[in-house]
Amino acid sequence: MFKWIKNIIDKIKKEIAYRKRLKELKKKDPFIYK
Amino acid sequence: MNKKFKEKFIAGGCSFTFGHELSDDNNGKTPSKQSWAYRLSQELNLCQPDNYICTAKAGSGNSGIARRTFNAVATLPDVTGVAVMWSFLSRYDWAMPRHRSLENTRWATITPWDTSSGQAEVFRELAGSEPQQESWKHQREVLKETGVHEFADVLYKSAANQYHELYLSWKSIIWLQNILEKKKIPFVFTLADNSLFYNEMTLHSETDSLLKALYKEIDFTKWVSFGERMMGFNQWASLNEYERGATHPLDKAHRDAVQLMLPKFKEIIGGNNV
Repeated sequence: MFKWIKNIIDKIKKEIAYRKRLKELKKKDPFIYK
Repeated sequence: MNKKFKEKFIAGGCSFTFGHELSDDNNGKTPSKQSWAYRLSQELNLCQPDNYICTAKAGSGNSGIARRTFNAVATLPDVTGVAVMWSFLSRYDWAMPRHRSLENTRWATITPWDTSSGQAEVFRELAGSEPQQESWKHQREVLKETGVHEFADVLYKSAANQYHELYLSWKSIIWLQNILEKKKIPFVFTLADNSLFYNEMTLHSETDSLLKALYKEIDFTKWVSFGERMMGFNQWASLNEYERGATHPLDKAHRDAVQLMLPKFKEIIGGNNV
């Protein structure tokens, strides 16, 4: 019954981790237009 | 025709070499003559002004830099020298399904900025520059149309990682280095940022035996850096508080960088006025 809730929580956690990783990459890579 | 008038000098790199935001930038239409690479070619009298071939492209990563430089070296005769400023690890070069809007109908340069996340942040950064905002908007449309945008999201979400980026970057550097050596073309390599080799104080080559072996293949006698631990041009310009545009050091940094690099360049690449 709670499996789908667990899946949503996992998805949210992964999305937060991805956004954090992307933010770090953008900090190191200053390019913002081409 | 006198050989001197045919000699070509090839520059490779990203926007730091193309010269985006420098005083003669015409919205990225033609490479700058204020850039470190153009100045270097003229200081050392390596080619006539019209024979300066700039293969640099804004946003390019190291695989793309190697590909474009190789393409020029392989197709142009009378190349007197090559100078490359290697770029950031996190950028990818990918041959996509053919599309008329892609470079040579096929190639895409992909950076973390090409993902769908954080677009508001970009517009905040570019608030002072309308041409840059327009250029960015146009680029976004092309990315959507060509499928690169969607691919960038998947790439950075599920596959991109620093280990693979190091492997790709170092492999590209060694590939180009060995081709230039084989063709007996004098060359100099430099870098925009030392994250190409270091994580803070630690060398990436310490990661494992594969990276250690790859690192050993890089001929550092052909490299010019801007300070300890392979400091890069962009880091040096920030450290010394050179005037900057939205994201790039401006003319004076390029002028001074050339003077700083010149003795080593003369030693490695020679020149017609030394």
